[in-house]
Amino acid sequence: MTVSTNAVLSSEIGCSRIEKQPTAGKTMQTSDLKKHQDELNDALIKVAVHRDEKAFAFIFDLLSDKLRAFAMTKLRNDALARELVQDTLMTVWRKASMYNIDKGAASTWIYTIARNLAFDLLRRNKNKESQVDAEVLWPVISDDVQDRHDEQSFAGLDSDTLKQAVNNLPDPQRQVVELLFFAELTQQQTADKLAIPVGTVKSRLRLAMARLRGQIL
Amino acid sequence: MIQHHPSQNMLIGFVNADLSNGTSLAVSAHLEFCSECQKQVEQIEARMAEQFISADDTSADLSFCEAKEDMLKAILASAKDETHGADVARSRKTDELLRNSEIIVNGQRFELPRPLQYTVKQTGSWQQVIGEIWRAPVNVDGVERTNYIMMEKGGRIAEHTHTGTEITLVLAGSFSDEQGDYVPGDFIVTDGTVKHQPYSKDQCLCFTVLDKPLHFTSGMARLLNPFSHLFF
Repeated sequence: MTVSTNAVLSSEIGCSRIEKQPTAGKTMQTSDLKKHQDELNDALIKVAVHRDEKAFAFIFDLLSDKLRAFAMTKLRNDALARELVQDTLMTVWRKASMYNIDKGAASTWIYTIARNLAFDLLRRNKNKESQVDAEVLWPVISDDVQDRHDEQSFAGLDSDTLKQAVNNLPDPQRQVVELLFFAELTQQQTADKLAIPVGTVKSRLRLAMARLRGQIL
Repeated sequence: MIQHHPSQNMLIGFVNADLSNGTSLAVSAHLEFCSECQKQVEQIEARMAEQFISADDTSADLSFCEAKEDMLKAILASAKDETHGADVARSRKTDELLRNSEIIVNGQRFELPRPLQYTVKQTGSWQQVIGEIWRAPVNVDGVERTNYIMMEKGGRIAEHTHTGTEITLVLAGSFSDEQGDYVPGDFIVTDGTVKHQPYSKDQCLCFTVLDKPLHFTSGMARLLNPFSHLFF
């Protein structure tokens, strides 16, 4: 957290790299892809849980050029492409806690954010009052409305039945339910304790509640 | 059970944001009914993300590279001003202003799938087209026409074909034609190769996306052709 931004910058971003880098093949080796994806996952979780600036700088360095290439194919405009790169990485930094690690790789989450922002940028350029925005079509960042119903307790149920049902949950869901309801932690505290993003706590809770409802109600 | 789904190509187009607004809305709404297609979309997204991350990025130019330093600083500095909690609260409030979970047709309430909840405020008033058929136009800034169509009990649309392509997503109730029965979630694509005469035994609410008017084909119904824009 206390890593100085300048130190990170000087070590990670070197523009000279452009000249030095040999022309790489068009496609990446499968093993490299896997390695990149694992590193990205770790870094995104560090950003989500600890607001880790160094981990973010790693993501930034790995993806900014790729994002720009993606943005140029979608938007075909240098200024807009830069806006897209900045907005995507800004969203990653600010919304990392919404990342759901059970749903897919960090690279997929970031790709969908870029896709959504590109869609909105294009529509905004054409028509200022566009009614359909990307989050309507592809909810990536939105807090799911269902959360509100999931906070309801199972009042009136005898606690042995409930305990039994909770014990039958898959481990990741059981942990979340125990911390939230038996230890009475908040979602944020639960996320901190398990070192996972809040978005993942929410989605596990949602799955657990659906399962519990199916079992005992 | 849902038997009609968007094609694989259409799902790929959806993931890549290549479809028009109306079609995208119909696909997105279908996903709320269909976990199979939802899973496929997630797989396509993962594949696209792999391509994105393996892409060659050596073409980046020097001026962009130099701008990156400021960009990283700006991003890291920005978060200090805005707390995450306030941000979520704001989006939730805006969300509630834009969204309406039900649509009311002739006094009856129908719950809509999430993406279509944003269309309610853009929906015009219901008008009786012919007989038991009602229509309300939806403005989604698309190139095609999008409508809600309600077939009341016993409602029937005269035999017609399509000069373009029509997408029908069943939202509530059911309807049938010569090819079979359609239930909520069914995503039906019809074009000039299909001639049909849809009817509904009980009632049926659909969301339709049409890129050109219908063309009535049989006997007296051909007299309707001058009015086929009513469906468009």
